[in-house]
Amino acid sequence: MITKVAQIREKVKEKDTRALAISYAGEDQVLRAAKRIKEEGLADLLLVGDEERISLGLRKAEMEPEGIEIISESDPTKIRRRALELVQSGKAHVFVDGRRTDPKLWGILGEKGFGIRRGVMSYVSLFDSLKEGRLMMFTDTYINNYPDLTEKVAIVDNALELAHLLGAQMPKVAALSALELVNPAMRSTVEAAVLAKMSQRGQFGRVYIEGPLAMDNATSAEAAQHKGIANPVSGQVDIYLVPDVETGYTLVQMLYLLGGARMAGALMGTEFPVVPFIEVDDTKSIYYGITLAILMSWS
Amino acid sequence: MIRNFEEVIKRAEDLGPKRGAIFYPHEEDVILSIAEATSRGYIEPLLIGDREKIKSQLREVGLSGNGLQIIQQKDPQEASDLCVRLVMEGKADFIIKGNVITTYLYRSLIKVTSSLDISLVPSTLCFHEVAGVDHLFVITDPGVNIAPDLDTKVKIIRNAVAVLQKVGYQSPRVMILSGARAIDQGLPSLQEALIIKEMAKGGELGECTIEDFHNLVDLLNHPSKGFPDILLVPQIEAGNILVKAIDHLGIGKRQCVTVGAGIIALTPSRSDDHEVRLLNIALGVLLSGVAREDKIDH
Repeated sequence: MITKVAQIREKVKEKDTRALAISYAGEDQVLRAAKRIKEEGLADLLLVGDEERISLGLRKAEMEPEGIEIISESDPTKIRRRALELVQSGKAHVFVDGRRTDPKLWGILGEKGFGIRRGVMSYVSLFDSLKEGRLMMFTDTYINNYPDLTEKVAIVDNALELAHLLGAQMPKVAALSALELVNPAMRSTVEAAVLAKMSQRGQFGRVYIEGPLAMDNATSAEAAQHKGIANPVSGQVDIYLVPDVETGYTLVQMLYLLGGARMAGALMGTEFPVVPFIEVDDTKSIYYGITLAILMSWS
Repeated sequence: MIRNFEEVIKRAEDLGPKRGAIFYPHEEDVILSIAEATSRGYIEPLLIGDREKIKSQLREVGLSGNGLQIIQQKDPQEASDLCVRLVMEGKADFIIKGNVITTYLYRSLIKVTSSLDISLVPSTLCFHEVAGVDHLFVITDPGVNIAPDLDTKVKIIRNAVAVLQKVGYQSPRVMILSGARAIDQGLPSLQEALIIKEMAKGGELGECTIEDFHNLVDLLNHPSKGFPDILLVPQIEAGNILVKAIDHLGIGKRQCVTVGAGIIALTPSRSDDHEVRLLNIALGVLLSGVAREDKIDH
């Protein structure tokens, strides 16, 4: 089981070199992440965008041309599609969006007939734990605003797919809310309880889902014991399911700004790995996000 | 301006003892923290609950209980209402919740707040001390209001502004958080934030500044501004999960109080340890102490 974000790279290193298709490839932050990926021999780069801007970007980043292919596309409305098609056709294995994200990317990903979306898309934010040697996954921290129960089932399934890929034998999921009791006036408590029941009935496979849990009794077995709700998940959580994006997106920003732990993101529910460059990302998190996407490209 | 919890303790030592009404001190860890807070001179305790249970707990931890005032009230809702009444009548300065569900206290506070002034609501504020932020900041409301509407959010901000002013934040900087992001700017929380910002310009929220941005990462684009003093969350789940993530994921410290109608009620978690409980009591002393001085000034 991978217990730190940086260990994902070690796993990727054991395998053959892959290829990344990067849109708007002249932009600084993502290009610097890609440079490191290439220098470590994890992947070759297919850079899609305005040729001049890409060349300028490469010079600025002091990158050697070896292992880099430039695909010139000067029409900005076509750049992302061209890069995505490179992955669809098998020439590349991972799509990396080089530009800070905007609604257009999500329009393309969600488009019917383009064949990128596979069911419900959701986002998982991974962090090194500040306290113990355990990877923390939070979901859905970016895509769905106020997911209903059906969507939450898909969001959990997506996160479980990732947890299994990272080597979790029996992933433990905490369905979070503001309290550990079911309050009919608070939808998230009801949905968390249903997910826990579904898990108990084996509807998610070899998985423990517990909920509703508040953050204190999710993170600490002792706190759960204190409340009289001892369970196998508390204190050993792999996946934290948040009630909605207001919670998830804000929580991730807080962990990023104030926690200072290593972070990576994974977009789930696509036919092939897609790495968006969202607001909380910097060069480092994009680098780790790409390593994770390369790992995902092997499954 | 009180910038960290150490200063809270120091101020409490100066201001104490204050009369703390302890709601249901039926368990050992509560009794121990009350005893310690008493011996440190933070509080003179008034114990409200089941006299027999309180006495047996006192014996268990080796305290005589002599000189301690115990008021018999076995029913938890009645006991909670009584605590609120004691503060309203000036017989106690603030309330400390024992190991009992917080709902009773919220109910009592909602009752008394709405009976006094329909335009008030109680709300919970959590103070945080985090490395890298050079002052305390408050996240609100992670406790009382489940899904506050626009009107209630305004009241929650007013409560927080008033409390922060008591500890020297004359014109607190308020950030109204939203999950709105590049992929979707259409969230109601963002629409409401924009309206509240307009209301603040008319002075409806008290002396404070409402920030123009609604995502924490936007702070990176305004490094000179520093971290806000008050973070208003869209709803209870976001608030509760954020405040507990700060201490339980090892980011920093947390101390929560619930306020309403000028009443300060401490609502510690059952899982809080001894030191955390003592600091919580110190915060109650500080907030109620300053409140009383204000009254005298008027």
